[in-house]
Amino acid sequence: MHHLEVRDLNKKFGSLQAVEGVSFSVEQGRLIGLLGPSGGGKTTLLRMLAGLERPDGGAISIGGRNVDALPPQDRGIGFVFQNYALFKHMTVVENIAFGLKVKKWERARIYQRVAELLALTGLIGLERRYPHQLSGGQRQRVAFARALAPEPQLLLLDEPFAAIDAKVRKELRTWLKEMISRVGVTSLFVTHDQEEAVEVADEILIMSQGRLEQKGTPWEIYRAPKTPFIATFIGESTALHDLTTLAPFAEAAVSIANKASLEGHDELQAFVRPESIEISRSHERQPSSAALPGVVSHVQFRGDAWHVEVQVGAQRLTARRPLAYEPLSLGEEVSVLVHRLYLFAGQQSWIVENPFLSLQREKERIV
Amino acid sequence: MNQRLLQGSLRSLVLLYFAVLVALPVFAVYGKGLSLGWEPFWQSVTHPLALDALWLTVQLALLAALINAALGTLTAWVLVRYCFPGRRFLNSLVDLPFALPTAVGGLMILLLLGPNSWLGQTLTSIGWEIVYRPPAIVIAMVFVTFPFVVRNLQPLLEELDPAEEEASYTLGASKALTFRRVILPALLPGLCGGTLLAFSRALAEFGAVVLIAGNLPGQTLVASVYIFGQVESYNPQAAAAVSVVLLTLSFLLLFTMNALFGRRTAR
Repeated sequence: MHHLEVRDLNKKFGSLQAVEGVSFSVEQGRLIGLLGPSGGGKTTLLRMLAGLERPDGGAISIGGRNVDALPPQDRGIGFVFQNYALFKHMTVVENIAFGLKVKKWERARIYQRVAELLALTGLIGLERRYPHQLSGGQRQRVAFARALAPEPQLLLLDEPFAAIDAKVRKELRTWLKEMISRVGVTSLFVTHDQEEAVEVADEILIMSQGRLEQKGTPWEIYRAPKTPFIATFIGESTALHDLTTLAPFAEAAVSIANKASLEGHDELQAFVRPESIEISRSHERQPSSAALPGVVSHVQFRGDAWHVEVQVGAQRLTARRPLAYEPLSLGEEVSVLVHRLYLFAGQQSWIVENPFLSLQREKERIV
Repeated sequence: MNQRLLQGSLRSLVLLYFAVLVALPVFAVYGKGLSLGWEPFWQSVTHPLALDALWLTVQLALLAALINAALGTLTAWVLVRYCFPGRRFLNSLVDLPFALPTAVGGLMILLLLGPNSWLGQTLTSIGWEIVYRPPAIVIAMVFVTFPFVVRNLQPLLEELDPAEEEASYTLGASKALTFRRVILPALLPGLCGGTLLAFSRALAEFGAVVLIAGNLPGQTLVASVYIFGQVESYNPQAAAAVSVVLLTLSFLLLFTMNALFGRRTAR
């Protein structure tokens, strides 16, 4: 049973197609990250789920109930706004209790629920403060508590971490993930930060130019991106211009290119991730036919690894090198081992492992 | 050093300006009103015609201020929230009552509603006499003080975060409830400030009122016209005495307003 179901949602602003034919479903209790570049239609989608924006076409059902005709008041949703939109003239407690008073809960019940949320969100001691007396992180907690107070069926969060400085953001991410799993409410959050989506979400929906590109767990999306856009958006990827430079893959690539051209797709796109490239000095690893010779063209320290660019034939590749290894120097000749490659043609995608590497592993096992 | 000299002379200039144009005249009025001592002052103020004029003025000014509170809120709301052709023109028109000699405002009302106008005759025929009666005074006061509430509310309305309203909707509040609980509290300082200023200004209105009030002592004679009458009949002390009452009332209102909302704006 799907808790949230969206079918063929469309929205146009003037001549701009903000959301186009988006369909997906979410199971009860999942935390979904809605990821994509700015202007990709994520916020519009979220606002349509909330009823703050009227779709041009399509259907939304929450908890098995079609909500298309319902105003935001009656959808049973909680919404956390990008700038939190706390009521400026109300204290923390008044903000949290607002939705409960509107729903005419009994006083004692309101009191109990507010106390519960204050404890849950760690806001005890700040009850009488006004929003302008709170830090960004505290404001976000109040917005979260306020949205959760009326026990919504679906929690929607629009860029919940955007307004918070980087240091506190990491802390809050973990906090939010924990909080949502503890409350058990089905949640959708919008973000343009792929690291955030990967770290927080159970599942990611990737949107670009109003379309839903892929839906899956972060690992699935990372492992098997379905489109070139996702390959470049999740993780850093380098596009390969000429597949023949990567000799070990040439054979596989040619056969896939043939298959693709048979199906009418002539353009084959290939990407490689920095994580799947190993760069070593010749003495660090035995020479193998799986690896290629390369020249270091750029080295940069990135906090947790060396960011290295190597020139292999006409192709420049980006790779990481663990800090535990000796740093490489510019112009040095190295051996470059590419583990896997992503290939795309039309709607199809392939992951190609380095054939020589698997051969080598096979041998090692036999020995 | 030069900087400090400039600052010093600028400050003195402002103080001098303030003293000559505001403080001295105010003291003069207080001085004149109390020049013959407390007893004649009290007699002038409690003179039945003076009391009637003061009481009528306060009542009508209060009514005018309240009408402007409602009308001004509506106008400011429409001017900020709605987009329609002619909005900018309408927006600049709001200041017209400030730019116009108030006597012209009075004349406009007279021409529109007076006994020789079509509208005035129609209204009289159904038993609504407006000109030369209190309703005309209220209309004149509303006209003259119209910009106060509008101009006080506009910046607050523009500053209002639309997401706050949307948050209220997603929490289950209707539009009416959202206006009452979310929007109105944010507008309150501007609304109160504008209304108090409108009231204070309406208390003092002369030019527009004198043309259309009829100025019947005890019935349609407002305080400012009463003061004018006393000056005309060589009784400056009585004129000053009533002025002192009006002035004190205005001061009290201004101080209340500052005490209530000054701290907020200082933040």
